Amino acid sequence: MAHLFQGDRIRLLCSCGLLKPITAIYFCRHCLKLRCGNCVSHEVDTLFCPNCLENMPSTEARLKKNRCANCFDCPSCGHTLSTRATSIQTPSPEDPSKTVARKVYYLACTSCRWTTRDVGLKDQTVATGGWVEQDNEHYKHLQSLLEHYRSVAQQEKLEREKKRFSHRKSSYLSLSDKYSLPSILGRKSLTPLSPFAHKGDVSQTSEMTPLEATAEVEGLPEDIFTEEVVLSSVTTMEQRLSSPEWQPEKTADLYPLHKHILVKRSLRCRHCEHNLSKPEYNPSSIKFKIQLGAFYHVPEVRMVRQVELKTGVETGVQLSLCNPTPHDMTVALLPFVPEASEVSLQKAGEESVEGSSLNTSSLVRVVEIPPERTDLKLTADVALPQGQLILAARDDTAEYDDQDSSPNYKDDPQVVAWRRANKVGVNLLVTPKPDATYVRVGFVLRYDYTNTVATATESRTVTLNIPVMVDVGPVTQS
Amino acid sequence: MSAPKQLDPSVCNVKVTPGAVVCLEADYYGEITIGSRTVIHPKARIIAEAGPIIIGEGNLIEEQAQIINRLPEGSEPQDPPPVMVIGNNNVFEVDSYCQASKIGDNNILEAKSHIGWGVELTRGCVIGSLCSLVCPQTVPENTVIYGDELHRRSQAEKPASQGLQLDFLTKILPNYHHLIKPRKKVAA
Amino acid sequence: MPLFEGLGGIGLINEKNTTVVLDIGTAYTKAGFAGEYGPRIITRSEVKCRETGKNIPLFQYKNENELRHHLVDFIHKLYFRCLLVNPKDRRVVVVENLLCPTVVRNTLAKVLFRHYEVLSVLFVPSHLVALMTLGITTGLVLDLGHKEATLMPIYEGVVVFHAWQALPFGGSLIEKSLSELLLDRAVATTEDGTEHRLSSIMQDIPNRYLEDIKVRTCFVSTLERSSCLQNNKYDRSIEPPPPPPSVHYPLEGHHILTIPGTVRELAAESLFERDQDALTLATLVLNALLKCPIDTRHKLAENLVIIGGTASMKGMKHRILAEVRAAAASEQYCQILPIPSFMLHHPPAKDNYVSWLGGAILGATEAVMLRSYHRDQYLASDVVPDWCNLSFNTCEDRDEKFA
Repeated sequence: MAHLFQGDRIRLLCSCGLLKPITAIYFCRHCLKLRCGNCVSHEVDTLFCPNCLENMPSTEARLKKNRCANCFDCPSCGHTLSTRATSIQTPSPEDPSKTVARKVYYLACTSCRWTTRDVGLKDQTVATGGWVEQDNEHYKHLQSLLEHYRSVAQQEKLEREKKRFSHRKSSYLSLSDKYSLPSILGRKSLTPLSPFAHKGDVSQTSEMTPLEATAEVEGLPEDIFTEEVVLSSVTTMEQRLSSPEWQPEKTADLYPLHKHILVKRSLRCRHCEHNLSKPEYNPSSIKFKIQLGAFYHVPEVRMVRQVELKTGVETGVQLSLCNPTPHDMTVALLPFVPEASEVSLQKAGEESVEGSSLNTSSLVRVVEIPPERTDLKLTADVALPQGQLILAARDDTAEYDDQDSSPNYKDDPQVVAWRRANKVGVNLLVTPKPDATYVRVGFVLRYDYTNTVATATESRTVTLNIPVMVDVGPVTQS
Repeated sequence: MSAPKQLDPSVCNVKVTPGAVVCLEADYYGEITIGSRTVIHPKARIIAEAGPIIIGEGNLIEEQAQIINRLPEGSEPQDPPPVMVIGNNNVFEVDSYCQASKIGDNNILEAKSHIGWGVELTRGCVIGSLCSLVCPQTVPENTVIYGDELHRRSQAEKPASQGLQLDFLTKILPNYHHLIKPRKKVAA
Repeated sequence: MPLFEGLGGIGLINEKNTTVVLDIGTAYTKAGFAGEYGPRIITRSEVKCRETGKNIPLFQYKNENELRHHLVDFIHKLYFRCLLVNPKDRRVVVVENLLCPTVVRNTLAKVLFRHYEVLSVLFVPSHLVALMTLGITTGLVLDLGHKEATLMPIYEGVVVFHAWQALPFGGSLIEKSLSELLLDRAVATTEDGTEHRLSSIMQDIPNRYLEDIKVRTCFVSTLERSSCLQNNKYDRSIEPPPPPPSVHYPLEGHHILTIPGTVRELAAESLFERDQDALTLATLVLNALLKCPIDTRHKLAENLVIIGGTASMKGMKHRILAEVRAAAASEQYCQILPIPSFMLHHPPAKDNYVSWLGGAILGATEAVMLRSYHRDQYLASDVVPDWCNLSFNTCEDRDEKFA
């Protein structure tokens, strides 16, 4: 159980150079390397509303600005609004002297009790939707601006094509090139912002009227020096920014917000473009179509129990190794040398890339992320068990068998402390270094991985090296 | 269930107005007056230590709610003793804690809310779940306090009363719990 | 119908892969799509620290690597929480201050190109594009940010760069002086109902309260009141104007803070007090004008544009205009800078996203294709062209272009 609460005590060195617990690491079956969230490419897979759990196609999401049409959030506290029904008396359409009960709906927040009635919004006669959308007051102006600048840019493009080699630009304009919009596309194309200048001779671009400056600006309201501030009527920053285009300053101007939709992400290996994780399409499903988590492919290392460590005293630390694959595995623990590890990692990487080149399209150009530097300082000497051991394949039915049917592996008792189904316990001897307060040891886990995607011509088992760092625990001063 | 225990008159003096549903199993201490149509659940605690507690009509005091009239530690007993007055149609939800000096009408103390000494609730206030208000103050009418940062807002109308729930409890609770009956002698 | 407005309806050129527009500020980040009239999100520029898990400001970093990690996490959040599009093979417009540190710019480019593999990045100067929202080409743009106030004159679409001005006067300075004033003057009621000075209860006030108090209660006073208060400091016989009413501000459930009216009024005064070099926001404007060519000064003065989140504080623009006019009439400037009128523009957006809007307008045009810096170019050289980098800005280089 202790392991559940110390998930990141044992971390693997990902191929990008970051240390991550096994739960945060993926294993690319095609490159045969570890990948983590930092070194895979993330993609938007499906969009859905977290409240009504409906899928939304990406075109629709773009039109609706990534917001659900039916669900609303409270503008006051951000909680989801729920629809409340109530009946009101209205004059009957046939006979105005009589009244009939009609059902009307409004939105209410169950957390802060905000309702659409608070801000004077009219109740709706239908249960979903019907709420009037807010307009951007500058819509017309902005639209004309957009059209204007678009035609300017269009013209610039045409001009550029026409007069490619025109030399009429003065050195004054080149100044603008430095400090205004950068013309980076090649040094030949000097394009200052001058086409963007509003010139009289540009006939096509006259629809836009520039705004006028005024000599006076709105000052403070007169009553600000005398009127008490009612804090609850002034919106907070969060409330303002939740509707960026309007940013209401008074709580009376708050308006229900359409619920923002969420995405399911799929992860892809940067090197071979294979999916490492792909969720199921259905928003209410939490399962994956593809999930190449390292805990399905890499032997899991756990610390069996916490031990007390003393400076300079050799202490036994027991680790358990667990084989998650349905194939037997030969495992060895090798010493870890931080400086050399980078080289060996690279080498291993090259080899495996070559090995799997059949799977990888040579057309794919990999954009490398900058290498990560992680502090790999070890604070204790460790004596690793020598020799190899075999980890039995995982067998889901094993725990239901009454008698111990596992074959005899002829274990070296120097190496194997105990063996149970697909788990093996090994002992390390840890000696904390003199000035260490926290013991961290490292080793390289070498194991034979049975390649499940290899073609018949290739060898099915590959030897992989995975550096593992173990935070053993604090040193008690003796 | 064992025979109905009697409230120890040396410990408490609970005056119940006819129409109130006051469960016997709840904890009572000191001088307490309970108005009609008020419902007190069997695991509530009402402790009138520093002075009497007067509860008005139509209040709903749910399980594990605590209403305590106690002076802050280290302060001198007052003369006359402070009376804690609770108005009408208030709701004390599950595990709420109230040490308010005065509570008006139509207030709601949501589950696990905490009201410290010296706080006065006026009318229509809502203290949200897990909100803790310990600094002496008067909460203005129709204030809603919510969230872990105790945001405040004022709403247009007071929260709806719990009439239906009170009617239901008035019918159901007597079937399963012993009640404190209004004392005719006191009334007379 | 802004919610359901069709992007196709307004003829967006690159409809399939709408360009993303980012304006990453010190305090708040604005993000959205080109061709839209408002950002999709304005969010705090904060990231969760990879080691401690606490929220820390994006631009609080020890080294370039840490900044890169911050930016990777932050941009991940922007794309997959807010914008919900694939960053890969999509163009980006980054609205940046011309005075933005090179390390930030380079790291941002590295993150966008290497981690997110964007198709191209277009860095646009924030002051310049702010003018695009107004449809004008000449203006004196003052950006009041969180950390500093920066000013750039722009004449006919050209940044008059040597006239730039900047002062560390921004939202954080207001918060700092607000904190000092509160600790000095505010009173807090504690649990037992007694009143204490705030400084006896807490050493410093958490930033989120300072921001909230600033936004909800403080305002920028008028010039007359301010000078009255100033005079009162030196000459007690002058009666100060009656202070605005105080505010009772609940600090969680435990304290009630009484914010005196004077604090509400004085918090923003620090922006207008002369610093050791006798500089204020007003001299900032006038000094910039002095550095501009003499023929441009009148036109620039009649086209002031004030943008940035701090500018939306109540009374701020009014006060700046009054201060500028007063300073222009003062002895120091009236001879050398005779300017008859100062006029202020009103951008068609909230102050805090004016530059973003400019970037969004520009990003919706073909310019984004012609002027962007492409991924292939970046990957070949690993550097971003910059005005301050001589390898992109030498005379030789310029001659080459003209040849």
